[in-house]
Order: sequence, then C-alpha cells, then structure tokens
Amino acid sequence: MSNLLVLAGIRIDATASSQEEAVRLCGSVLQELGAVGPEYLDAMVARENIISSYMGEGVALPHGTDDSRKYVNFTQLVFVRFANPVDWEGEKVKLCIGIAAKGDEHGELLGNLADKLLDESSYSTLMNSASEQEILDLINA
Amino acid sequence: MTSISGAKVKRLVIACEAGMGSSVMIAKQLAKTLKDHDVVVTHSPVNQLEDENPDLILCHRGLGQRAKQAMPNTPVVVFDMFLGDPKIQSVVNAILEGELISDE
Repeated sequence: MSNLLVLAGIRIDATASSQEEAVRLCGSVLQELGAVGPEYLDAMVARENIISSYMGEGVALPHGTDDSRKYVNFTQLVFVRFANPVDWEGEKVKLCIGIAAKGDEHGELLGNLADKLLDESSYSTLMNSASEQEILDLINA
Repeated sequence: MTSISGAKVKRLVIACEAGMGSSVMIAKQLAKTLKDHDVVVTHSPVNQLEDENPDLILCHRGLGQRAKQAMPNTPVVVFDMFLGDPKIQSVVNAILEGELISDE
C-alpha cells in the first residue's frame, strides 16, 4: 500500500469561508505532514487564480504551479472535506484533494480516485463517511 | 478548423497548467480505458505540448485558446468538467469507433 495519502492527512469536518482559505488549509495540512515548505501555499493560491481547480461533482484538486515543485519535499495527497460547501467561483465544493507532487508518482492513485468519484456508492462514502480509516482504505483499494 | 479520424489517434495529450492535478487524473483514467487500443495518453503543460507530438489535444475550456495557439495544426477538443463530462466520453467513443474528431 502506498503512503501517498496517510490518516493524518484526512480531515472530514473542516471549515473554510472562501476558496482561498480552503486552498490554504489544504496547503497547511501538506505542510504539517512535512511534504511542502510554506512558499508552496502561495503557489497553490497562484495556481488557483490562473485557472480554478474545480473538477465537478463538488470536488476540487488544489495544487501548486509547475515552478513550485521546488518547494515540495515529497509527493503527498491530502483529503480535506468541509462541513459546509465552499463557494468556488459559483460552484460548491465539499471536498478538496490537495496535491503536492515532485513527479508523477501519484498519477495512478488519482486516476483510480476519478473512477471512485464517478461511482455512486464510493462517492457517497467519500462524501459522508465519518471514519477517516474507511476513507483511506477506499482510496487505497 | 482541424480534424482527425479517431482511428488515427495514437497520441492523446491532456493539456494543463501545472501537470500535477486534474490533467494527471484524467490522463490516467483515459489511459486505462484506451490501453488496449494502442493509444498513448499523457499530460503536458500547455507551453510544452509540442514535445509530446500529439495527434489530438484535450483540455479544459479555460486553456483551449492557449492550446490552439501553441498547436494550430492539431485538433483541440475542450471540455467544461473534468469529472463525467460527456465531451470526454464522446472523444473516447470516437477513438474507439474511428469517427471524425474536430476542433470544438
């Protein structure tokens, strides 16, 4: 099993009052895990300003710019779910998958995650489960 | 206006800004769908598309113009939603069925 996502990187009851606050929260969880330096948070906001990381289905995928890979210590994903949807340039985001990537190591996991987000039962678990462990197991499955 | 037969698409590139998030997700997902059909799916920042030598480019509407400027002779199909956009599915179907794919 990969450690691209870890239990300490899963938040199921986060709050943010804006898109930028939500993006910075994802960045700060990445920073707490040691995956990024503080400069990465600004790069995540900068990337979001170039083009929204909204994916559809209430999910956004905030991450830094290509240049900001130098602030990434190791590739890591975080799962940040909000108690109340965050306004995202007119869309409503309930779940952010925050990404710090050195290379492409997380590609497989992301591709599988897309399938799970499009599957009704997995989607419901990701959006509603009260168990961080259940979410981790589902994403790694 | 450029177009290509789906049967001739051997290199499909998802254009993106940083190549860390959404484009990676879609590229890996489509790579799985198309792996038995001899189609290589990659992702690339919009300013490095030429290096990938794509037959067809897929990207979010917000990047469509830049992708087309970078690769005027390659068909560029834009979509609005990364997850579950019918446009992405129709490109996959056109590749599998060998139907014509044009700039959109």
